[in-house]
Amino acid sequence: MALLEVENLTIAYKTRRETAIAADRVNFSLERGRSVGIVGESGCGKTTLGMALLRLLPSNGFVKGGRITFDGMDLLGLPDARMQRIRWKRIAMIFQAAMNAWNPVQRIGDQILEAIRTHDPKITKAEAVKQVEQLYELVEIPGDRIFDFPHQYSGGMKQRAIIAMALACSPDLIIADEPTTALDVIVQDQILQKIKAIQKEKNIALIFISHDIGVVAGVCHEIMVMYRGKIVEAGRREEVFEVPVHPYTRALLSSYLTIDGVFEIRDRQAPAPPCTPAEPLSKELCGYVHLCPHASEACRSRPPQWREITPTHKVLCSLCR
Amino acid sequence: MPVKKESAAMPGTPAEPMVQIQGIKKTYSEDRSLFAGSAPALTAIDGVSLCIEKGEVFGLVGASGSGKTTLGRLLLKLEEIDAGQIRFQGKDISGLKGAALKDFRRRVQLIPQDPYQSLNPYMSIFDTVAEPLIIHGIRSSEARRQKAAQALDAAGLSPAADFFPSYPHQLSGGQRQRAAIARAMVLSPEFVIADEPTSMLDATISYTIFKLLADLRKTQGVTLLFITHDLAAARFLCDRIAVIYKGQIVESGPSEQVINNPGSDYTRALIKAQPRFSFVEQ
Repeated sequence: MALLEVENLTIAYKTRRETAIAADRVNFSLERGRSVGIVGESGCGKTTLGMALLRLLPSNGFVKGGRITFDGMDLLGLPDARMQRIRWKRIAMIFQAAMNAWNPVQRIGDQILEAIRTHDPKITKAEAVKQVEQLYELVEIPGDRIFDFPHQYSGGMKQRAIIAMALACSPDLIIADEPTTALDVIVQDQILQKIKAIQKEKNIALIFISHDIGVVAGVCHEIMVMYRGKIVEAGRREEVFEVPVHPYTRALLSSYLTIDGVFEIRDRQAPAPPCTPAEPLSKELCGYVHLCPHASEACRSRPPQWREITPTHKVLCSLCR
Repeated sequence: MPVKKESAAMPGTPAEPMVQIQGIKKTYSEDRSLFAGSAPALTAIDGVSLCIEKGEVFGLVGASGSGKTTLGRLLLKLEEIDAGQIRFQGKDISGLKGAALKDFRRRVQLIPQDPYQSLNPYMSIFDTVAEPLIIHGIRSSEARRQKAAQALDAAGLSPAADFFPSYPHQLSGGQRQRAAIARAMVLSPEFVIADEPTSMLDATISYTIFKLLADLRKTQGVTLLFITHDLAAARFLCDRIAVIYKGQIVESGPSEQVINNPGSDYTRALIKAQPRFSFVEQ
C-alpha cells in the first residue's frame, strides 16, 4: 500500500452566496521516496489540496467527500490530538513565502529547537542542538549562524532554514507549496537541487506545488496538472511534458518561456489564450470548454471521462481517445 | 559596450539615443537611524554606462540585490545619482525643475513590479488611469474618458467601459497588471521602465503580459527598459540585454549573443540556473 492515498477528495469553501468547490474528486497515491508535482495557475485549488492533507483548511473550508489514507491511517477520521502528532512529525509542510514566517524577534535556531522539542519532549536541549547542527549541514548553512536572527539571513538562507525546520522531525512526507517563488533564479536553483538531494537521500515522499512547470519538471517524478479544481492530466513527467494531451496542459506548456525560446511541443497546435474566466465552475462539464480551441458539442453537453494514454498517463478529456 | 560619443545631432533625429548613461554611481550612506550600528556605506550602482536606443526593448538582467531596481529609480529621477550623468533624449536630467521636470515625468513612465500593491484600492480603474491625465492638465472630462478607454483597450482590458467602475480587488492579478500598464501608457510616454512586471504573476499570465508589452512597442513605438531576473523572458522580449551584478554591468550586447555566447562567469551561472525541461537524473 502506498504511503499516501487520496481517493475522490472533494474540498469546498462556504461563502455567503454559495458553496464553492475548490477541489473536485481528486485521486492520487504516492509511494515513499517518490515525488509528485501539482501544477496549475493561481486559484486552481492546488494550495487548498495541500492544506487539506494536513487538515489545515481555513475555517470556512471543509472536506466534502473522499478519503485520505496516510500510512494506513484514515487522516480525516483521526481525533485532533492524534492529527497534531502527525503534523510536522510525519507530514511537514513548506508554506508559500515561508521565509517571511520566521518570528523576527526570536533567533532562528530557537525556533527550530521549539519545533523539535514540541514533538519530542524527552529530547535534551544538547541533543536537539546537535540535530539542528546536522540539519544546517544538510542545507549548507554554516553552523555558527544557527542562533542568528531572521534579519541577518538572506532570502535564500531563510528559505533553506525553513527546509531544515521541515526536516527537523524526519517526516515521511513533505508538502512544499511554491517553495522558491519569491527567490531569484540562482538561489532557486540551489534550493531545488537541495530539496531533490535530501528527498532522495532520506527517502522522503514529496508533494511539490507550483505554478512554474519548469521548476516542477526539474524536481518531480510525476506530474498532475490541475485546472479549476480538477486534475485534468496526470502521468510521469516524461509523459506529460513530452506528449501533453489535455488542451490546457498544452496551453500551459506553450506559454512557458525557456532559455531556449518557447517550450516546444511536438505536433504543436495553436494554444488557447490562458486566463481565468469569471464564470462559476460547472460541476460536471469540462472546466476548460470555454477556452478550448478543440471543444466540440460533446464537450458542452457531457462530462469528460478519464482516458488512459499509457498505464501511468491519464487525461480527463472527451476529445482524446 | 562602448558608450556612444555625444552626437551633434539635433534632438528628435533618429540617431539620438533615448537614454544615455555615463559612469553613474549611487551610494547609500551609512545607517543614519537611531540604532545606527556598523552598517557600512553600500554602493548600489558602481560606474554604470549604458545607451538605450530609441524604439528598442532593452533588458536589464540581474539577481535580487544587484542594483537593477535602483538603476530604474535613478532613470526615473526618483533618486539622484552621486556621480556621472544621465541624458534623456540628449538632455542632462540632473538639473530638471518645474515645468521641465513635469514634462520629463510625462515622457517617462514606470510599470511597477507588484500590481497588488501599486494600485490604490480606493480608486476605481477609471480614476486610476485618468489621474495622470488630470495631473498633466487634460481638463475636458470627455477627453479623459476617451484617452482612458483607449489605454485600457490597448492594454487588453476591453470593453474599457466595463472596467471603468471596477476596483482593483475585483480584478485578477493579470488584469491588475494590465491596468497598471494602461496607467503608464495613458500619457503616450516615449520611454517606459517595466520593473519585473510579472514576478507576482503565474507563468501563463506572464506570457500574455510579455506579448502585450511587445505589442505596445510595435503599435506605439515606445522604448522599453525591461528589468528582470529571468533571462528567458529577457530573451523573448529584448533586442539587447545588459547583465548587472553587484552594481556593475558585467556584460551587454544583443540578446541572442549574450545568451548563446555569454562572456562572463556570472551570466553563465544565470543561464545554468534557469529551469529547463531535462529529464536526466542527476
